[in-house]
Amino acid sequence: MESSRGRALPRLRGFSIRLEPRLDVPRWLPYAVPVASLIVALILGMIPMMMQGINPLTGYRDMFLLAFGSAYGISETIMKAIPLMLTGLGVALAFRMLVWNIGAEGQLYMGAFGACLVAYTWPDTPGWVLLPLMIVGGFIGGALWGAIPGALLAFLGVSEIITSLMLNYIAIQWISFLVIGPWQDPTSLGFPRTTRLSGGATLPPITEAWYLPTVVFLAIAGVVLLYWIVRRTSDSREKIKLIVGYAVLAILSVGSIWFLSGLRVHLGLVLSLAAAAVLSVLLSRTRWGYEVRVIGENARAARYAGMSLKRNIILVMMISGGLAGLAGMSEIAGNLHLIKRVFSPGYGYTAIIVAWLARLNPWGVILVSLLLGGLYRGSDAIPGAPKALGMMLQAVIFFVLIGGEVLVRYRVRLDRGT
Amino acid sequence: MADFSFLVIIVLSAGIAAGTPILYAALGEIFTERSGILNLGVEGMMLIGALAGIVASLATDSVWIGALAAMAAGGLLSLIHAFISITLRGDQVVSGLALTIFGAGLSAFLGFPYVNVPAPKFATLPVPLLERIPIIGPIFFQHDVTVYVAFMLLPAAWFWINRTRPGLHLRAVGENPAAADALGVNVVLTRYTYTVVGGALCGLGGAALSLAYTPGWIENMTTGWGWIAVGLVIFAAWNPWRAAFGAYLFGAISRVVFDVQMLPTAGLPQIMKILLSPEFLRMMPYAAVIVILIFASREAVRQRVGAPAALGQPYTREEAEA
Amino acid sequence: MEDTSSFAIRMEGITKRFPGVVANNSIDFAVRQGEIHALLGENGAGKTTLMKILAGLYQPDEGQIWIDGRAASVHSPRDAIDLGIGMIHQHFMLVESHTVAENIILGLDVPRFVLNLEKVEREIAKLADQYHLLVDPGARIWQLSVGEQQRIEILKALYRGARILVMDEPTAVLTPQEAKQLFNTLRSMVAEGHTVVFISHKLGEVMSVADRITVLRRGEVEATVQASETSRQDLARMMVGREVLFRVGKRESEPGDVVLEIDGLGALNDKGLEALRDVSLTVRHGEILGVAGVAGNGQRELAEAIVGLRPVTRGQIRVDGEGVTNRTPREVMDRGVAYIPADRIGSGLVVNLSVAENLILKCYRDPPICNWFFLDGDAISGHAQELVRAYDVMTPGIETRTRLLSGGNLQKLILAREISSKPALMVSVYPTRGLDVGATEAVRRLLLEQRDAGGGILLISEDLDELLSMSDRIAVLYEGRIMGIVESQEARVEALGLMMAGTAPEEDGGE
Repeated sequence: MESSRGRALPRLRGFSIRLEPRLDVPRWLPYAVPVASLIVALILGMIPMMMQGINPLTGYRDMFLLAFGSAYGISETIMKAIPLMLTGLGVALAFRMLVWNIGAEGQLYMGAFGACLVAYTWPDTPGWVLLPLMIVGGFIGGALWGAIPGALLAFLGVSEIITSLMLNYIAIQWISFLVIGPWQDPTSLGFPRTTRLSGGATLPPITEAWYLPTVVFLAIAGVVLLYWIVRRTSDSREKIKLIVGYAVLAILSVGSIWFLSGLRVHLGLVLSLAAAAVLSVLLSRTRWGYEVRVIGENARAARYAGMSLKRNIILVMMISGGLAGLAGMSEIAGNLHLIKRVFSPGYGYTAIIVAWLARLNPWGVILVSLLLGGLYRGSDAIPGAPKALGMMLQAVIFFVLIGGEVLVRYRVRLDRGT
Repeated sequence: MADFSFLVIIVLSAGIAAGTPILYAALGEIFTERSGILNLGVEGMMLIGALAGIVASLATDSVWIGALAAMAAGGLLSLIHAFISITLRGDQVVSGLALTIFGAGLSAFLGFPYVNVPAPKFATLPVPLLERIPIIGPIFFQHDVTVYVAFMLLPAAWFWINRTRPGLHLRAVGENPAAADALGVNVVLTRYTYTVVGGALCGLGGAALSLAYTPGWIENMTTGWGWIAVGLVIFAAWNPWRAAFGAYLFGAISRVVFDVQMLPTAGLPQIMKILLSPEFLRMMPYAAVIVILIFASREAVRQRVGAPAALGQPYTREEAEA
Repeated sequence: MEDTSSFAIRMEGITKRFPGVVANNSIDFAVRQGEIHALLGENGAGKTTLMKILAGLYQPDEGQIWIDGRAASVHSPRDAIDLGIGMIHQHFMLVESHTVAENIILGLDVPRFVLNLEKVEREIAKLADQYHLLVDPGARIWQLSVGEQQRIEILKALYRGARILVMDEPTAVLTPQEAKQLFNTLRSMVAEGHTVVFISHKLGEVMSVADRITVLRRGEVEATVQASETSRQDLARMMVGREVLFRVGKRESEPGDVVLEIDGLGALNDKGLEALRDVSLTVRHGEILGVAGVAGNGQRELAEAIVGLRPVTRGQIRVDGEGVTNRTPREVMDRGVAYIPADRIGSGLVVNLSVAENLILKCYRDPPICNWFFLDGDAISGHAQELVRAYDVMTPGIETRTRLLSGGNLQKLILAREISSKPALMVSVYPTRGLDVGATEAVRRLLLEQRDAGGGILLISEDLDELLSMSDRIAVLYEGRIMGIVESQEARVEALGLMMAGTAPEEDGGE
């Protein structure tokens, strides 16, 4: 017995970090932390740039100018941001319920497949019929691909993290099979790509012709909003929020037509914004959104309140996959107009970071996508392996932000050991 | 008949060679998860390890130093995850995912000048005497050193986890950190240690790829093998021996897939031609992971083998009260 | 003043602050060598915090500690172990999937590297023999009963050479008989020169076993007294700070029709073992049926089976005559069954959502809260304001995140939600556990009001005093069986205790 008391192990003494939960969070802190994280991340990102012999300051300047320095640059940044928005929204929804869908990449590919299946089956249909059908096809393609890990998780308890990821590789191989097999363009001289989509199957770019429908839409939305404010809401803060939101929407939509018409940005942007709006309303104002939030926070309480976990897991995975599928559809129909072998530079993976940086908030996803879209576009300015630099910087921003979030949740105290 | 056994020997032998990188990564992840930390950054750590192995062995002309550098690189990367999940109590799933993206991005960025540069590699080194044993010899003892080291690591890992005092502490920290803490086991130090050990083994797995199995550096050369390793840990129920079985099985599958591509398909029906196309064959290992996870989940329900009870949960003393 | 060297423990001026609360406020506490010292106080009085400081789990913000007359610095559990302090926590610190021997040697420096469990098992058997603590060193913890697990905790401390044993609420999980046995063990340990501190809020056991008693209230020392020179009433007053009524005033019950009828019920626990065997009971409208029993004898499973959270393997459950066996929680809820779960934060509430959002957890899909898929914000806040006012929930606002509320208010929130659904039957599990006296009284009053309004209540509790004062009838569960059902006016604690320990009451004829 005596021997068992032995001597103490040498201990690490000195400073130790202690975290105490904050009871009240200063108002400015949740906003300051992401900004500070971004700055710190950019500073840390200089290290690998210097290791590759690139002057980080001129590097960042070139990146910024390429991404945001001209109308064309901004247009290209938005082109990269559109698939990030749609996949990011999907991932954010799944993460809200703590379903770790990391298969957005594969769902994006299967969405492209679904949309093109429609487009190649009825190539001569006019756009106003074909495009909606392609949207449905893209959504279903991604949704079914997302349903597989969803069902495996719901019914068998198989980790959706692994299965959704494995399905990414399978989807990419499936597309590879198509583009050098049955769908290969016979005139491509052996290049692995499909035939160009017909004119009706492409998402039209923004032009000045959009002013009229936009103004009509804004007018209708205004009337609905007015009804809502007068008849359905008594909370004055709520009213102000709605009015400000409407004003922002009006200015941005008219402004962006003016700014972007004649450039490459296409209807996919509207699709993304609409998806964000729908998702935001679904999550905060419907009983289904309430179920998702309760399940995500406390599955046991949800079960006890009579919510069906299985049904919601599958449903959320399908909607999440469907949104990623829309990203694939919009990328093919709006940007590439044909399928190539590996046509996504990892949008589905970046979506994970987008969703988390946005704190799983739909409008946040839109903002963060624009930022990371700029990173994608901007890293083309760096010689070498530009895509990789973008990826790496995203991850650094992300790491720093997680660290920063600790500052929001906890008060950090340094203890001096004795 | 002789042809058939010859084929079996080739497939099994190649399976062991191909399974070795996965096995290192899976062993690393077993150590990490046994301490209660879920690190989904295996893929990223393998990539960084693969690149570090190439860079260091090119610089020093020694594959051994390359392998050590790979371990150091993997360990360093895992330190980020350890800091975020242990000290900052961040979400382990998301941090691990970010680590994978970070590792992939960083290795592609820094590895750009090394793509397809010829680099040193571990030579095949048959074990004297043992290699002559019929069937067993060609399957197990005609490989390079990375394979043999894995052979030795396996029983060592099992013994360490199940039969030693540090192993007892490791298991206790993963199952019930509060109990371990109350008895004076340093939970934080234990978790840091095994997260870094796990990272180092993942890095070594990467080096086993870039310095032995498929020598040289290519962007994203792990093609999801790190994720397969993560899946195998679940399949293996956190047991090194079962992880070895799974890893070698995967090696064998990827080898068979490769061999079948060589078969003539002329007389076969259309559907078989499609199924035997390179794209479909390349899907097989990933599909196989899904299938074995389905079986593993059914078995887990039946036998009640589960993950370490505290896996993925941050531990703090003072909050235990609330 | 005595010579300090005769104190096994002396703590002086101990202050410990947690964010928002002072758990210990300059506490002076001293324990003599070889005594049994009780640390008495309500939940939240700071007893456990003080002892966790002694065990090195918390660092005090101020104060000093002497062990055996020598100034000691206890910076980690290891320091405490080296000083001969062994703490047995309320929630046992055992690794469920490991064996007894593995648990006992966990954290020791010996053996240095390779485990020799056979040798350890022999040592444990010897030690267990010496203190008459029966255990199987090779068994895995999850296979053992709670009483056995407690013995292992004691052995763990003894194996480490602990001379000062600190036990946190050791009898909470024991039958009265098992508790008696534990006290015998403690006395024999004291006789061998050990010192025992035990934390409790039960006056009876403190009076019967302790030599001296220190009473804590709201983080401060109220008094330290000789057990022989005080009374239950004195202790109660010191503990609560005012006179306490030991019985809640309640009206005669007026039972109506049967609301809950359980017939031959069987169910499995989480480990797949039989947790309920042939349970039959009825609850009437306007009646409280208490369920007594030591925790872990099927109480949780019984509640979960009734509300639809646990599959029933045999038997029938009827609510107001309609079968609800193996229906979904939603269907059972719709039949008028409300549920106060044992684990408030874990399954009763979503602590990261607001108070208002928690209050609609059960009615979120019905009008007026929800109109065809869309939630009505005005209706939600109106509903919340009404309930917060009616049930006197102390919260800064209805948009406040629920995690910021105190334990008593969390429970009131659940009661508000459940009672406002006007349930025919309430299944209420440990409704006052962990609450202070004020909140406990409020919760009991709400339950009685619900009974008087004609609701049937199944009250599962481990507190016999509570059951005796609240229930109209009491059923006793032991190993998943009903040992007997008695009118609470006729019930005697001793008889209930025997049934809780598995002895059938004599009225049944005996065997």
